[in-house]
Amino acid sequence: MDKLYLIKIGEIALKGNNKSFFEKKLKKNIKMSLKGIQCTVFGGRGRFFIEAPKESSRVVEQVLSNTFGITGYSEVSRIEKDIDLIIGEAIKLAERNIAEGIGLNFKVNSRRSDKGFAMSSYEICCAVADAVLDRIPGLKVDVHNPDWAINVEIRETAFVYGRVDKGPGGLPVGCAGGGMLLLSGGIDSPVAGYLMAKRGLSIDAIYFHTYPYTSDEARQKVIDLAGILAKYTMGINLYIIPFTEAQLRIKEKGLEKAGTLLMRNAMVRIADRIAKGKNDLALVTGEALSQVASQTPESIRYTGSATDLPIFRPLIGMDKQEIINISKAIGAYRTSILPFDDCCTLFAPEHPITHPDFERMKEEFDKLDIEELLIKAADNAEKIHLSGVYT
Amino acid sequence: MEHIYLDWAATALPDQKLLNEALESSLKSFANPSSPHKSGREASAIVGQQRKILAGCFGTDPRQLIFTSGGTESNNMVVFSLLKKKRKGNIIISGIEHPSIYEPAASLEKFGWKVRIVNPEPSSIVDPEKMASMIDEETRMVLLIMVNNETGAIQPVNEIGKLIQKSAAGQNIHFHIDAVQAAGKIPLNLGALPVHSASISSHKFQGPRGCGLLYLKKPLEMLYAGGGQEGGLRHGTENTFGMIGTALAAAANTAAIDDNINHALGLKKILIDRISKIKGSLFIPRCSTEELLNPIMFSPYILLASLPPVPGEILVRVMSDRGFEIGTGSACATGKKKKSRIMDAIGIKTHESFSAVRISTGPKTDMEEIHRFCDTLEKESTILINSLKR
Repeated sequence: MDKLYLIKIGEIALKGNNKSFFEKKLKKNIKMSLKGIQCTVFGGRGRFFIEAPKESSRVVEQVLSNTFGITGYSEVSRIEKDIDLIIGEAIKLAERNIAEGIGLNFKVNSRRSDKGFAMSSYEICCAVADAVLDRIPGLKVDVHNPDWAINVEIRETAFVYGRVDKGPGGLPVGCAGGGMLLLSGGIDSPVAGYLMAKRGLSIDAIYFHTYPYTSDEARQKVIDLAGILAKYTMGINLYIIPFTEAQLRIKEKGLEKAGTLLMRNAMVRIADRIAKGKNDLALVTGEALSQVASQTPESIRYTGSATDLPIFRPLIGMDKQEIINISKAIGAYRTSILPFDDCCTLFAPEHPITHPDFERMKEEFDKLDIEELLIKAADNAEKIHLSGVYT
Repeated sequence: MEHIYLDWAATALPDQKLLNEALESSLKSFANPSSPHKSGREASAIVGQQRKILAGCFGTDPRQLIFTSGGTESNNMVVFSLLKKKRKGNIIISGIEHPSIYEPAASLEKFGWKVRIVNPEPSSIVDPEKMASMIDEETRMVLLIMVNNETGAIQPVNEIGKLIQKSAAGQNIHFHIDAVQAAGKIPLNLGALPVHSASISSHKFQGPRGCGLLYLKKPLEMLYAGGGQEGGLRHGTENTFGMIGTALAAAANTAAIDDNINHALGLKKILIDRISKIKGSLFIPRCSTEELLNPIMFSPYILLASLPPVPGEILVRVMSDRGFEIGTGSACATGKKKKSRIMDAIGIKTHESFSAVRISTGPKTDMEEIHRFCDTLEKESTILINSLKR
């Protein structure tokens, strides 16, 4: 048997002429996440429905909880536009809520887009509430602070539903174009990718691997993180960059205390090259102002100067704890804190510059004579696709 | 690709023939040794035989050997037996104990015990006088790792034991040794040593994982209670397979101990000769070649080398990818050059301990393998050292 869900969209509903573009994208994204599951997505004008086999409900609910553009969803009963049938469904719903012990105060919400239906919204509410009160003693109507609600919608057919579960909000992934996320094995960058995907950016990721100074476990950790993120971003292409030669060149020729900044500048250059090659419109990083030496305004100005693409830094004003909270909520935290860090001590300066001189840094970078190595690294990237399909 | 295993101090290469034999015997004597029926009595007799064999290997009375799950459990049992004592006091440990002594000792502090730590000399060998000088009337236990698992230093157990006995409170002090890296590898005659207890782990000398021994000169009051097995000191149905495997491995290795030591010394000499030719290399501790090759001072099976500035972890990774498996001295932690507690205790400079790798051999390691290892180490470390130069 199939289950039917009503999908509520938030910000998309406010869009003007582009609304259908956003709606199509959302529909496509839901279908893509559920590839392999026999389901139909239909509707429009602010309301979507998905019908899927009952045995797939766990997966369907996961997708609805994680797909950007959805603000809420609810399992619904679809019935004929007959007030007795509607009342029958409402009583079943009330009885389930009583059995689950979620309280005795309720209200009825009603919407009638089919104005041909004989009763007004108010009359529907009254009829349903009266019937429920008659049938189940002890219940009380409380329109201001109900424990639960019965929702009735009269459209081309009638729908009755109860609890509305939350979706993640935001805009459908892909409606803002593509961005390249600089993904490390840490806590911040996956969160940054998640937040930009929430604003509709389709995300690909780039990781800089410095074998043997970075272990294969660290590489696998990044792949695992990309896999977690992929479930929110409709899949991810992860580009793994062989960065060792460039890293060693920086160590050999770079100003020691500027090592991290020179490295980040080199990384942004590689990311820029790959992003432009696939028509991405922006880079994304997990930088938060003043978190580390390379995240002061001067440092960010310098590393950002390596590209003319905009760099989105959604964590810039966040505290670490706020970032950790999101990381936990999206299921990345436990992977992010696995202890397979880069053996960065070799390349991290003891006393890094926190307020670099912009012109001086440009001169220092030129001394590296590294451009060719960066092109080679970008061109030798290994591409791994992490699927966004739920199973 | 090559597969040459040089991490015997972590765990020995299992002896398949011997383990198969143990498995077969244990399947024949499958019954619970506590069962009173015929099969149970047979199994009980098998357990008794293993205890006798092991007592012969380690110079003890069979009744003084308790089967455990390994070195960690044996060490924990002894440390936590102190919680049964009415009067609290202090215990003395060296600064280079294995975590299975160091951590339980540290947690004793939460129960009101004092832990005194004596750091060894730069050679990583403890000065007996220095250790004895820490003893006072409140000292209840002294614990010492007989052969250190990182540097291979062999501690003067005999001398320390005698000094403890001589001290004013000596009669009340329990002297425990962690003999995990000694048993089956160097002569270990526990009955002749002035110690009260010792820990042994089977897998370090090619026996099965999950089985070990606790030598107890006299019974100690332990924390656990149960079915009364192992003289009421370590409860739980006997691991017959583990016991048979342990006895077989101990007997085989004890019989060959002189040959094994000579063989290992030959390998260690080549390792020292060849590694010392790599520019910038050094050995930890900073002792002479003669000292490192003195089987009274250092385990012939363990060599700790350092090739700064290459981090040990990186060298282990690269060598592993070339087919050679060795151990790290200390791990590279997030953003910090984290020193090992043991390196710290013997005053090794951070950059030296950071680069340490442990090469440990066993009776099955052959000279040809050591040469091939050295060839690759020379090649790979040179590449790494050059690439990290500024």
